[in-house]
This record gives sequence, C-alpha cells and structure tokens, in this order.
Amino acid sequence: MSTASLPGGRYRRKDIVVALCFLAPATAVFVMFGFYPLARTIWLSVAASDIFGNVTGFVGLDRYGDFFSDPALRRVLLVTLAFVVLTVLPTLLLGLFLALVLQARVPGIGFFRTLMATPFAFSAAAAAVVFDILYSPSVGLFNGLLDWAGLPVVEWLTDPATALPSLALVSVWRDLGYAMLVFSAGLQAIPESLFEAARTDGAGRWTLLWRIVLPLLSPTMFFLLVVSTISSLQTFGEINILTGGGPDGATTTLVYGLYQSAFAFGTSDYGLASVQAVVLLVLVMVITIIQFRLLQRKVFYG
Amino acid sequence: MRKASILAGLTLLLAVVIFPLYYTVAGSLMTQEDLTRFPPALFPTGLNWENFAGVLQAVPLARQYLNSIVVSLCVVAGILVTSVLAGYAFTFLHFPFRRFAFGLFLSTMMIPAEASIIPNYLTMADWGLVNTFPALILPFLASGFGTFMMRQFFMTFPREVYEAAKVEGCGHLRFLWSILVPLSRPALGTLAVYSFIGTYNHYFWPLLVTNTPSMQTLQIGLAQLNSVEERAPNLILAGVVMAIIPMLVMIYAFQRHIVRGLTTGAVK
Amino acid sequence: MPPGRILRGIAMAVSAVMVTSVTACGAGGDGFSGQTVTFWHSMAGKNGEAVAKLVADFNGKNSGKIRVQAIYQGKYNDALTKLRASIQSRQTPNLVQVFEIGTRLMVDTKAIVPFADLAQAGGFSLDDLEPGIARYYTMGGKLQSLPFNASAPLLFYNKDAFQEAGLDPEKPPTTLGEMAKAAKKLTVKSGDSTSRYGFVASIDGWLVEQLLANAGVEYCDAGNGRASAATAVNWNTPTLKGIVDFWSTSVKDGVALNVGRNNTDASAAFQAGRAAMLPFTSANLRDIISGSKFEVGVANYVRPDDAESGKGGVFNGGGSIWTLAGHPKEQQDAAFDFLKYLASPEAQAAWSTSTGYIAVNSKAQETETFKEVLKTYPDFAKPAEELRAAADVPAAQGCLMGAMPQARDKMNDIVESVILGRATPETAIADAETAIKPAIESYNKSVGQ
Repeated sequence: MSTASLPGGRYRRKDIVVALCFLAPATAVFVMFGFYPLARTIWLSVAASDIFGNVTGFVGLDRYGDFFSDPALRRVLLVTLAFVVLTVLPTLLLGLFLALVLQARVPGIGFFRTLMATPFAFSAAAAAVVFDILYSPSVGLFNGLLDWAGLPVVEWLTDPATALPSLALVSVWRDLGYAMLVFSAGLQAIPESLFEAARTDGAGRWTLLWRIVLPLLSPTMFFLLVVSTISSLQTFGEINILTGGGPDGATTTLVYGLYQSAFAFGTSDYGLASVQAVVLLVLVMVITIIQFRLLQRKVFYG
Repeated sequence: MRKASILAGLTLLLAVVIFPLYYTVAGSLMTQEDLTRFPPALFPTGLNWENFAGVLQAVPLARQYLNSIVVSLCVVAGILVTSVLAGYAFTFLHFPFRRFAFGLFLSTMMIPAEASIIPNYLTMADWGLVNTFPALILPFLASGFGTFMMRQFFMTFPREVYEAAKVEGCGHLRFLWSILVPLSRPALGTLAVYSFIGTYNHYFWPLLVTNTPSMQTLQIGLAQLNSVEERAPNLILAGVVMAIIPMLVMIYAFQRHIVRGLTTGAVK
Repeated sequence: MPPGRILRGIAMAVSAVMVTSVTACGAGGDGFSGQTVTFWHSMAGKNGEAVAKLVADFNGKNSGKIRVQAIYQGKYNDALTKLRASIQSRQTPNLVQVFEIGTRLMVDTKAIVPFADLAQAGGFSLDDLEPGIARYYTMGGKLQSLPFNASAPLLFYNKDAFQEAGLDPEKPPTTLGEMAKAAKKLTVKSGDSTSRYGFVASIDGWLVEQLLANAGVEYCDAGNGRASAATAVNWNTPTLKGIVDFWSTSVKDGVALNVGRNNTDASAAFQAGRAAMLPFTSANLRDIISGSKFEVGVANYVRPDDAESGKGGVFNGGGSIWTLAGHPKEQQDAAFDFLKYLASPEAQAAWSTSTGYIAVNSKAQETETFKEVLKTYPDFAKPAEELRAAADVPAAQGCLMGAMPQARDKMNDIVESVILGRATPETAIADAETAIKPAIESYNKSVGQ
C-alpha cells in the first residue's frame, strides 16, 4: 500500500503497515462471518425462494409486508417482547434484592454469595433439560409438590398462557446469580463514607436505599438492563429443548421463528427467516445505540 | 438474635435458589422408578452411581466434553490474539481512518449472531466444513468486545514506557510480547474466562453445524440425551451433573475474573 | 520479561487437547477399509436400543466390509429439520428414517433413489413386504422407500383399574362415546386433585388422522392425495368436530389428562397409573407392557361415533428408510445390503417383538423368535391384524401430501386451542384451514404442480 495519498504525511509508513497486519486477522473474521453474512441476510429477505431454499427472484419488501400484516406472523414480535419483559424485569429485581440481602454483615456471607451464584454454572441446555424434568406434566416434581399440597396442578409448558412464563423462569433462574454478582460489585464500589455521612444525618434504611444506593447503582442497573435485554432477545436453547416454539406458537420468538422458517418441516423459507433476522438485528441495534447515547450523557458515572 | 434470623432467612432463600441444583444432583443418583412415579421422589432411595455409566453408553459425553473444551480453548486463544493485536493497533499506532475502523469493530457488537446464522451456515456448507472443528471455531475467532476491552486496558498504560521502548529500538511485536502482554495479565485473564464460558455454552450454532455425536459439543449432547432417554430422567440428570462440573469449578476458582468480565463497561 | 502465565497456560492446554483429540480422531481410522454407511434415525429409548442391536448384528456379520453408523437425530420433526439443512450442505447421510407423512416431500426433494429401483438392480423381491404398508410408500407405481417401522394406533388400558371401576376388563371401548363413558367411571377424584384420570392422550395430530381414517373420512382432497397432488385439506366435517369436541369436553370435565404434545409424557402418565386409558401407537407396546406395574390391556383403536364399522380403517404410522442419492456406488450398495438385512424376516421379527412395530416382512411371523414371543405376549399380533382389517378405500390409506408435516402441526393447534378453551371446534378448524392453505399452495408451486 502506498502512503502517498495520506494527508500531510502525518502517518508513519511503518505504523500503517504494522497496523494493517495487526488488524488483518480480526478484520478477516468480521468480514467473513459478520458483515458479509449480514449483507446476505438482507439480500435473502428481499428475494423470493422456493420451498427448497433456491432463490427464484426479487420481491422487494413483500416478505416484510407479509410479516407485519399477517397476525399469525406478527405474533412472533409480541411473544418476543413479552419474553423480554418476563425475563429482564424479574432478573433485575430479584438480582438486586439478593445483592442487597447479601450485603448483610453476618458470618459466612461470602459462602452464601458464592452458592447463590451457582445457577450461573448451568448452560441454557443444562438448565432447560433439568426444568424439562421438573415441569413434566405426567410425573414432574413441580406438579408432584402441588398435588401433595392439595393444590391444582399447573400446565407448565402445555398451556399457551403459562408456557412463556415457565420458559422465562428458566432464564431468570439461570441469570439470577449473574445479576446478583454484578449488583454486588456495584454495591461494593459505593464508598462506605457516603453511608456514614448519611447515617450521621439521621437517614433511615429506606432513605439510604432510595437516596444513595439506587442512584449510585443506576449505571450498573442500566448496563444489566441492556445486557439482559439483548441476551433475552437471543434466547434459543431453552425454547428448542423445552417447547419447540409451542404450544400453538406461544413461545415462538424471533430467533426461534427464523430457525423454524429456515428448516422446519423439511422445507426452507429463507425469505421469511431473513425478515425475522433483520427485525432482530434492528432491535438489537436500537437498544445498543440507546445505550451508547445514554452512556455519553453519563447516566451516573462514578 | 438478629443475626440468627438473618442467617435463617438467607438459608431459606439459598434453598429456593439452589433447589434445581440439588434436584439435579439428587436425581442423578436416583433410580428410574424414583423419577417416573407420581409424585416423584424428593430424596434418592439409594446411591445409583451406575447412572453415570449409563449416560456414557447413551451418548459419548466424554468425547463431547473434549469437543467443547477444544472448541472453547481454540476460540479463547483466537480471541486473545486478535483482540490484543487489534487493541494494540487502536491504542499505539497512528493510521488513517483509525476512528472509523474502531467504530466498525465496535459495530460488530451490535450484530446478534442469530441474524447472520443462516448465511453463515450456507458458507460452511459451501466450504464443506459442516460437522468439523473449523466450523465450530472460525466464526468466533475475533470479538468486538475483546478488542474494546484490550484497548481500554492499554489506554491506561503509561505512554512514556511505550516511547522509551521505541527509543531503545524495541520493535512492536517485541514490545507487545515482552512488556505489554505480561502487564495485561488481569485483562487477558478476564477476557479468557469470559470467552471460555460464552463458547462453552454455545447452542444454536453447534446444533446447526454438527451432525454426528462425535462432533457434537456437550450442550448438544445434553439436548440429545434429553430426547433419547426421555423415559430415564435419572440418566439425563447424571449427564447434567457431568456437564456442569467444569463450570462450577470455574465460577468458584475465577469468580473475581467473571465479575470483572461481566461488569466491564458497567462499574469502572 | 517472561510472557504472560495465562497465555502460556492456555497455549499449553490447547496443544495438549489438540494432541489428545487428534488421537481420539485417529481411533476412528483404525485401518478399516470397507464401506461406512451413515444411517440417521429417530428411535429413542428402548426402540433406539433395538435399532442399535440390529446395527450391531449387521456390522458383526459384515465385519471388515461394511460398517453402519446409526445416528439418532432427534424426533421425526427434528430429524427432518436436520435433513433439510444437510441437503443444503450436500452432506447427506446414506440412509435416513423419515415418518410416514414425509413421503411426498422426500420424493419431491429429488434427492433420493427409489427403493424399487435399488431392489430391481439388486435382485431383491418386494413380494414379501406387507402389501398394505408397501402401498402407503408407493408413488408413481414405485415403492419409494423401505417401510421399516410400521405402527398401528391402539387403545391401551389398565385392566386393574377397569376391574376397580366395575368395568369388564375384557370389553374395552370401541367408540369415542363408549370411551367417554368408561373414562367417567375410571376417574378418581378427591377434592381438587385427581388421583386417576379416565384417559391421557398427547396432542398428536396422528391420533386424529387415524380416527378420521377409521371413520372413512378423507383427510385431504384428490382422493386423499393418491389420485394427484392434494390442493386442500378436508377438515370442515362433522366427524372432525365431533372428535375435537370429545377430546376437549373430556379434558374440561376432568376425566382426561392433558400432557401437551409430547408422546412420552402420555405413556409415562399411563404407566405411572395416573390415567387408566391411553390411545397410543403400537411402537412402544413392549415397553408399556413390561414397564407397567398393572395388567395392561391392548385393544384396537376406537372410532368416532358417527362412523359405521367397516367403512374405514386405520393405516400404518411410523416411518420408512430412504436412500439418498449422490453417494459413491459402493457405499450405496453397502447401504442397500443393510436395507435388505433390515427387511429380512429374522430382523423384522426381532425388531417387531422388541418394540411393537408391525413386521413389514410377512414371513417374519413364521420365525421362531416371533412365535416364541407371541406365546407370552399374544398382543403382539394385534397391530398387524388391525391394519389388515382396514377397508380398501383411499380414506383408510392416509393422506399423501407434501405439506403433511405442517398439516399435522396445524391439527395439533386445533386440538390444543379447543382443549385450552381458546377456541370453539368450528373456529379452530376454520383458522387452521386458513393457516395451512398458503403452505400447501407454496409447496405445490415449488414442485411445479
């Protein structure tokens, strides 16, 4: 590469060559498996194809029209958003609660904190498989306990109304330890002197929480909100193992919908699959951009 | 008195949170009969260690363990190398379009892997790499997050040391390898642990690109075990126990790294 | 300065693991110079073990020449998903087991070699194959795949529970109406909790397909897709409404347990004594009889009340094995040798008696293995007899349609939404008919019909 065209010769030729060499490996991976497939996804979303996945022509935004106008297809969006709400809110609230409780000054608190974090050791697949057994409608322990207590059994995964919350419970359980760890780190970063100053001013426990802890935790909370929202949007393993998108489409999220459109029933609809992929992409991008914007304004940066 | 009630409350809370873990371990030692009657047993009636042998007969978990570890370690190594190199370029080198290039690198964090998964599958299919290690590894060898993290870390590095090294005629690679990398151990460790866990837990991609039990990773093996041994939950739970042991060890051994990795960008 | 310890540690670990994994790979290449045949199947649990046994037996007999590698690829739908992706990557297995309703789809992929062609070239006579079953897999006058696991729908019931409820254990219900009456008597409740339900059924469109066939009602148009490609489903019938109504009423009244779509959950509930009757496939006959602590009764499948006996009949469920094209000739020949073995009377007798599938080779019943098992378990003869008794009408042969896998899924939606009280039978059926239409149309368009 020639340096002649570079402005004012501010750059050293050697630096440029080294930079190119150093950036080349990562760039190659990003181009090959990030940008190029993304372009191909966008192309597939505006192309017509037969049920075997062969592109047969260009249809413009027709498939987007299908997706947003057909209530059955559009439902995927609602399910996705409902799933995000059902996973993110409980994870954050319970994670914060656990982190606060684990601030208690009692012997062995470190032991409690470590053990509380253990669900984090479960992968999506491992957690799903365990809950599949617990949820079993015929011989599952959850229904066994309910029955033993004289309560009516719950159709955990077999009723569209309960399937999504049941699925969310698995995610919440798995992410809880992680949220707790992050909140704990945030709490520990709050200087003790602030508490003491507040206490000498006669602040009660709730005042401390509302006036000092929560505002100072806001960046942590915001970070967790973004991270959990994005990971919730990407949930696949739990759905694949526990419900396969059912019952009656009640747990078909964007990611699961794109998988089904692409390969389920032995037929391929790459067009519809790609439309869902693009919608997912837009959602994640919007969330990330909001994050960057707000971070620039510094939510509350210590 | 107050401490005692706090402890009691914490114990209760802990019992609820780790109950599924308890049931996994307990169930892995139960008989099939314990788990397929209604209501199922809460405590094992005996210690049925043979469940663990049974799992290994149903699916080649040992081999899948190895696959998961090979894939995860290769990805970790790849991410460390590509992130250190790119982070270095973005911190210490001046070159045209640097800000733009850095922005492009960061933008990869906005692309959910699922959005490009079908074309990536088609690429692997075209290259004839379906059901091979490269298919499992290649797409993950670089990370926008890793580059960002290394750059953040390098930025805290005193510029004078860099200048002094330059004056002494120390080349980029040598400076990087013998001075920067050793000083960056905490950041590298965090990135390594973080990437390892992420890769070890991959599900969608390995499900797509593997066809044989001997190429499948542990996560897919668990799902297959769940499907093939539906009538024997004791075996399935024994499989889960085997799968989570390395992760349990990791989170106990590297808790500090994990927290740091998770909170990069949150609490600085 | 020394390089980072972590980096070095990782580098060492990676190389160590690479070395071991290469050795592990090496174990596969143990100097075997014969043909390796990959066979994807969907047989889980005890039935999976039975497949493994057949494969091991075949491999033993052909040691050094052929090695069949049987790979479980998940349930039928999962395996079909996997197959779709593998056709895309041109890395197909040699053989794949596909459920019965994937028949037209498999033919239309043009990725297969018809079994009849292989049989002709290999001098294999198709005469011994059970004619009713072979007919299901025949398209364009050619047997397209080797029927391997053919099942019939049955009604399993708990004889002890029948006795307890004052029902005659030798007179199981034959119609849905009788089943409803028996279910009411069999249900045991105490307050809010039910210790025993009258029956349990998983939401499986297959059970409905078989009820319709038993009633002599065609499932789709064009002579049940036999005369030409079907263009629409024929669901708006009083018979289907009656079936859905029966099912949902039973669940609402608390005499039937709903376990969702998973078959295993239904049989598990039956075996655990939580429900006294189980409409189910014969595929797990062996497992259900030997795994239950009570005496299991096995009866022919029930039929809708508005059906005249003898007008219809049940047809084979289960699946067949397809040979995929595009593999080297020697490999394909080896794969065909394996198929011949699977179709042999001995293999079919072993297979049938360890599962509950119907032997697709009619000579299997004359083998010692089969006769021996029949002495202890006379019920093993029932599925085949039931199938043979079906009337010779298209309605009793099942619908052949490319979008049949989606149709079964939509049928599940119908049953499910009505059971859960989210729709009436009428609206659920109308919705499903609307939903399946584009799938059938785009399918037919794609294959040029």
